[in-house]
Amino acid sequence: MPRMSERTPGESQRDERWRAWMAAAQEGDARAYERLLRDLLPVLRAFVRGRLAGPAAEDVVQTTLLSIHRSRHTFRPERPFGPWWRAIARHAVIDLVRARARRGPEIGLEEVELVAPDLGAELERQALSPDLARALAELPPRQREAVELLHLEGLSVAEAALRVGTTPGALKVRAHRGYQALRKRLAGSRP
Amino acid sequence: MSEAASERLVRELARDLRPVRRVARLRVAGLGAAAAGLLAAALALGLSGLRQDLGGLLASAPGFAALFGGLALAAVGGALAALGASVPGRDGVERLGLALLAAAAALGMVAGPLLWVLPAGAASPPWTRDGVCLLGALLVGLAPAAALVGFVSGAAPQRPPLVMGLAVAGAVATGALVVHATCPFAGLRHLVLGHALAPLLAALVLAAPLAWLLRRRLARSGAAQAP
Repeated sequence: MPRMSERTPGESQRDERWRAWMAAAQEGDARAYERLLRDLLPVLRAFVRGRLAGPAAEDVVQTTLLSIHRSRHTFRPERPFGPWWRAIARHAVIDLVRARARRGPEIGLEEVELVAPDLGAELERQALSPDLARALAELPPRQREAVELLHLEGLSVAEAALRVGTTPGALKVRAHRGYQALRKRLAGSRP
Repeated sequence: MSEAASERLVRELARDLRPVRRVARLRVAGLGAAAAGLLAAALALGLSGLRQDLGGLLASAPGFAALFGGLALAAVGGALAALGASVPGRDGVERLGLALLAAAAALGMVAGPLLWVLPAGAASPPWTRDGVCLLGALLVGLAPAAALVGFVSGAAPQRPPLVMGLAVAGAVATGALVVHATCPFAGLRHLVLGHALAPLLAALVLAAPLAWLLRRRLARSGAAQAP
């Protein structure tokens, strides 16, 4: 069995290709960047799934993609690409494990929506109602932003996380808390 | 989240991609911090001068010498660990820095008991002098700290409080080393409180606020990078 540090010629060529694409992406070449991320995605997914089981693995894949995007200025083209992206992915896995240890299992989007079964419909029904507008306005800014992006603007969790500059996991926690607070406020405002 | 969402995210990220300015090489950043530290040290030494019995103390008082070596190792180790931890994939540099810091801590542990056998007459000065030396270490450490924190802020540290703590500890250890070489006092309490603990105290006090500022900056730049 080959050691971790021993790469096959195919892997070396692939790393070389990725290195060149990332260097081009740093110059603003969007096509090279998309090719890089598309090529990397299955490898990254396998890397994460080798360390994490369950639906949280895809969360970590997306968190890693966001981190790669935000850290792309730290890649130096004279250095290999593999250790760079693997360090980012490893940290994303560790962060999730630590977050689980701190506040229990990660909240899934499905669970977020289950917190208030009718809230999604209610948000649409009451889109402009004074009660909802007031309840939303009373939410802490980060929770309000998360609820608005997910439900009123219809973004995915990853897209919303990207928009506000946070991780998908953190955005889900904000939305989860926001939904709970909204539900309580809307229930309290009914006669 | 589904695999389709990951595919969408890839498209989002690639759309409207903006060029970025690469961070400096670690070697360049390290040399910059070292130059800043040497400049500050030269200035401080020019103002206060080396203690006259420095050579004698280093040769005859092993505790004093161990502390000197420990502070030197902490200065280099803190800086290397902070630099390595700021850039993904530079774990080797980070590990080397942490190993030097561990060696510095070990030397500090050794120095503690050895300091009891300081030369006769090496009494500790008034408590206020401990504060003066702490402040001196901080002031001399400002320049290398600015160089290190500047690099770290522009990079991508995964653990901001730890990285800031390492950067501050390394920079203030440089200052404490200069203080150790210039301060005319050599009493046990003074050497421990005013010199040896300066990097640790500074890191404990400054790491959290600096990390908070860094997180805010990273969050802002993260949002600004969003397509």
